[in-house]
Amino acid sequence: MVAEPTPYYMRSHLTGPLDAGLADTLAGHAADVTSSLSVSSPLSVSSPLSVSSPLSAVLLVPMGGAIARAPAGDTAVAHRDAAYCLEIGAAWPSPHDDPRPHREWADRIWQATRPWSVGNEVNHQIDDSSDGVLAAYGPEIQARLAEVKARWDPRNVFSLNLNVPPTA
Amino acid sequence: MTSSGPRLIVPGDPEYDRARRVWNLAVDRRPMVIARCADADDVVAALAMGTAAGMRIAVRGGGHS
Repeated sequence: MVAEPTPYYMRSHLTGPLDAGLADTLAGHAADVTSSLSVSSPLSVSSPLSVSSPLSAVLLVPMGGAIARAPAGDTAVAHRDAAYCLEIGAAWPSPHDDPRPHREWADRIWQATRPWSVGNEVNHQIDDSSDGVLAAYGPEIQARLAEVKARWDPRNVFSLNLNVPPTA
Repeated sequence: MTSSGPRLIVPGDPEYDRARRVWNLAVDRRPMVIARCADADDVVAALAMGTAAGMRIAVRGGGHS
């Protein structure tokens, strides 16, 4: 990712410890970056795994530390025992570009790395269906959030988000 | 109570395109009204106005997420 604003599409998994299988999978999907470094030329996708844009990136962000020290259930943050946040960021130069190849690249890596997922990070959650929200929070945190929502926003005025509806 | 209410930005306003832009340039939304709030009273006024009009409301903070 770059410092200037670009269009982008971000997905992620929270994962356990890094192993050879995950490393190999990621290396395969990052192939051919050097062959597409010029953004003015058509970006070639030479294999289904190769990156679609030189602006795209995959980050393995270490978790643990203070995140893991807070007791589970004390806050709205789930999956505190994850070792890494695997961030798959597709970015492309212009809002006028077709976003589909870039989003599909990110979706392919996300699907390929699902076996290593221990949960979803709420701020990168794409699936805003009730199942997706539940996957991000887990049932216990979701239930507490729904109670908080019922108290402070019973009519769900703030609904255009990864929404936790109030308990009835 | 010194606030004169939120600054309302609607389509056609010279500030509209700048105000509706967020960090992710893939997002291209055209809200009916953008209420720029300076304090809690402005937020209350904007929410009262929006809910009374039956609008769907989203919070726009720094614009990153």
